[in-house]
Amino acid sequence: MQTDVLEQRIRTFMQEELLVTFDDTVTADTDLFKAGVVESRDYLRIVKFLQEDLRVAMTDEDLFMNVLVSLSGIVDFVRKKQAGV
Amino acid sequence: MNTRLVIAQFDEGAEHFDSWSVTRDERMLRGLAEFCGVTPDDELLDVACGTGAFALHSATLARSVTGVDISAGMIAVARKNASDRGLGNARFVHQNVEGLGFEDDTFSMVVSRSAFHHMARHREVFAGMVRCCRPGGTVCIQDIMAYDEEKTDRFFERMEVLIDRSHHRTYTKRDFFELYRDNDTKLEALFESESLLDFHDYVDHVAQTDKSRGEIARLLDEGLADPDIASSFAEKDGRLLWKRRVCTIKGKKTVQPRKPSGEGY
Repeated sequence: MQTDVLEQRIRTFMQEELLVTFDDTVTADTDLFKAGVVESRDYLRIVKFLQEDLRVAMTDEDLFMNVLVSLSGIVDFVRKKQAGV
Repeated sequence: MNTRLVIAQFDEGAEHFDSWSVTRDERMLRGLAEFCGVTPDDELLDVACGTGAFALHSATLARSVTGVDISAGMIAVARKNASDRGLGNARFVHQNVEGLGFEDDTFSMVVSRSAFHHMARHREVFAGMVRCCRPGGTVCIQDIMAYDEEKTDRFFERMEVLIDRSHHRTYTKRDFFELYRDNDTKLEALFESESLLDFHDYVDHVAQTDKSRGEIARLLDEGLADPDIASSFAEKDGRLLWKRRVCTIKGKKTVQPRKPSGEGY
């Protein structure tokens, strides 16, 4: 999947399913959990979305790294997984 | 950590602990229940339940809940809370969580909230939690988490012990992760968050003496004068807020394949 398409798909998921509004304050780099934009249950939805919709296989170490907190972090993570890094 | 010290402190301060804002934080209780995925079919065990805040919240969602705690004072308050709220599906047992007295595979969900930092033998406690959980059931821990920077962590460990004599150690994210790796569980999620604790409210969640207040104030001044430490505090509306990291982790107990009959040595 091309990067821009991938980013758009993840952005759309976050906007439509997690009701995140990206603007000048909440950007692609914002830690959405720290900022209080989303909650712990949303974290589970992100993990499920990556595993089931994007077919990303997540290892325990992936879960440990806790990179799934911002749009850019999630996009980078998926890109690396798809590249086999 | 002296177990008797933990018991004495919590017996003495049970009523006060029950009314502490963090104990009763509905948003946190709801968030944890959602993270665990509590359903009406669940039979839930709350380990080191204190005055039962999470167990009682979950009792409105699950088939049944059981809370266990080493402090008889905490259990007495938890039972009263259950009775006051008319929750007939909640029971509370006075028991040392290092030796959970339940049959193997009893509960569909086993949870511990804000308690592991009191435990010296946390591995034994976790192994017991997994043992009591049914195969395929959920095991979840939520607790404060150590800071990454050693200097910051050392400072706040000193502070925790001054504030709360029953504090043993704040475990690292890696410590929690390894509990799951080493105990027949499949990790499902590990979530880090930051909680903003009102520092002075936190100090008062346990009984203090003039001496302990003086020591805490001196250490706080020392920390606020050091930019590396001070960055873990914030001020809002005249309140001093302590940025405390929280780890919430859950996994499923794995189903062990049965050995074929006749297998032996």
